Amino acid sequence: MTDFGRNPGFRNLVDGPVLPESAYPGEFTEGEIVTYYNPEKMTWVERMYIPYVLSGLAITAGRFFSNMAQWAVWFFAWIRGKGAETKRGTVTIYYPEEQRPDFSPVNRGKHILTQRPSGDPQCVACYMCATACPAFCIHIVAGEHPDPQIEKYPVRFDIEIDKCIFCGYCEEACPVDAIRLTTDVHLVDYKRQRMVYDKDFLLTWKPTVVEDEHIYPGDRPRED
Amino acid sequence: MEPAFVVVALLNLGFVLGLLLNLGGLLTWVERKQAAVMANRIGANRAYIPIPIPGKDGIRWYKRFTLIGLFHGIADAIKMLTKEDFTPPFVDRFVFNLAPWFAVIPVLVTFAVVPFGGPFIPGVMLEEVLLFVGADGLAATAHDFFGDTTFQLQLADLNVGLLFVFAMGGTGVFSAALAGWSSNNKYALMGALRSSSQMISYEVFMGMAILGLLVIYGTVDMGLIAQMQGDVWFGFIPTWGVFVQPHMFVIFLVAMMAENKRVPFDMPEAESELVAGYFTEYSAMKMGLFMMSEFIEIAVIAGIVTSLFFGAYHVPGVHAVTDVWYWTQHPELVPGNLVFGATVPHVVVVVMRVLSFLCKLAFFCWFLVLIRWTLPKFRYDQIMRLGWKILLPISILNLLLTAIVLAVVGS
Repeated sequence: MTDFGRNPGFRNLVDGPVLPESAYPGEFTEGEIVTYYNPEKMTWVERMYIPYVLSGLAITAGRFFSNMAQWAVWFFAWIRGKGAETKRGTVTIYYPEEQRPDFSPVNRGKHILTQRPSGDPQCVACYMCATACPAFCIHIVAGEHPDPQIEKYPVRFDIEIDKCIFCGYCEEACPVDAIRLTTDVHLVDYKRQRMVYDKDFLLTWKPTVVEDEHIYPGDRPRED
Repeated sequence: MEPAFVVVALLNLGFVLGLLLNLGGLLTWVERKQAAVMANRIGANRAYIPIPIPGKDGIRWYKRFTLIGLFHGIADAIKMLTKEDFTPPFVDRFVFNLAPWFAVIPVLVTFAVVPFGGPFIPGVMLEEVLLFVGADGLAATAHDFFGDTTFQLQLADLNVGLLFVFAMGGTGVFSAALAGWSSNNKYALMGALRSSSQMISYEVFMGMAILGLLVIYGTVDMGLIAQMQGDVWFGFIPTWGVFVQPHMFVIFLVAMMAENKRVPFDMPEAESELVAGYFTEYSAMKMGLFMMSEFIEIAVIAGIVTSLFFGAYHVPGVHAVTDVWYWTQHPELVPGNLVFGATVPHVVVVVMRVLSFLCKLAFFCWFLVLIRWTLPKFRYDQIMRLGWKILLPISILNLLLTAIVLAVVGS
């Protein structure tokens, strides 16, 4: 049975019953699949279009003015130095400089390699993390360690941080607690090449601290 | 030609060009920022001018001097000027290069007939200002130079003013048609076809819509139309066009928006269907000229709507000694510079009027951007049906009724 005026739901397309007119909208029983549809014919008020244009303009203009009023309130608060705690006319934020107040401090991002007291990496180049990695972003080149107790050490240890999905499996897989994820999650850069973190960079973790207000995290100094 | 006339004309030209080109740049910012505010966002805020701060470890650069995003227009301009101006090998080079000028020049030229401050006497005005400052000798010189002649704060006081607007609007079709045809690209051609049909259809009833008003005013001279809106009825309703024929204001605005080819009517450049429509093949500043003409046209539309329907430069209750039409309508009054009955210097009235015009212009720019970010795009058949089947009959009916009423009542 074809029912043209209706936006067919999945059930209707296959074999579902055409619901009685009383089923639209609202009056339906538990477990029943109901399709809603817009009536084909517009009323003459709707066809005139202008009342609805005006109501739409009223909504957007109202939003505009209420936000501008909030911005004005914020501006005067900002002049008095209370800009940070005053509500602005937005739901968005200036991202790199500001963070959402509900941003969780336990989010995990950038990796570090832990060190032995001697300064060597704890890592024994066992490839467990590289094997566990679902994004295949860890690349290790193993070498023989002079200390026979340790056997192996990573000659190279590269993480393609732009491929990493921050699942923490490497952390779980590591038998010697050599790799950890830190709370440094704002990993931005202007060059894709610099998104490959090498061993030296992973061994020396400097937490991204926006020490000067005017330096973005993306501008952090790094040797190429 | 008198030197005073040349000076006033050059100053007018500078004002209009400065206003339009700056507004064109500013409106790109307004467009982004207003859309952001309407959508609870922050909007354009990243373009900055770096300021060096000398410190202990060398110079650091302060990167927060963004002036709430105002530099985005400048950044855009620099980007478009320095990008590679690529001309595809398969285009008709001459017409391809010609088309952007057909987009910009008619738009810029249209504003010439918009009266932005009405008639004024620069000699008296300057004398008052210089006397107030205290430069008496200079004041006498200025008065001698300009004399007591009345000039217009309007670039070209054409007696065919409104026809000139329509003519230039018609020329605007060339830009889209030539750009689309010479690009040798199917999307561009499609956009050109759509824009030609859309603009030609909407021009028909744009003229029709305004005819009712012209029958009442009895002139197409924009300066005179502006003067005729300087009166009040019953002491409080200004004789603005919008109070004479409010329904025609809506229709005229719709037609002008369709001419502008912006979002509710952006079939010619519909991004989701035609890449960028008729300027698909353009790059760098040639594309920038199309965009610029679009933004300047917002200001031009605002200016024309203001001067036809919202009393141009008039503030209700403010009259200048130069309002010839007003003083002939009221022979019992003594001509003078009046603000609600109080006599003020001529310069005050003129400045008030220019500011009033600019305020109205800014309001309509805001309103057009508001419409652009509120309404969804029309379908092509809807645009055509709206134009030919609804708005055109209404316009013709309005013209007929206006003519009949005028014939019965007498003017």
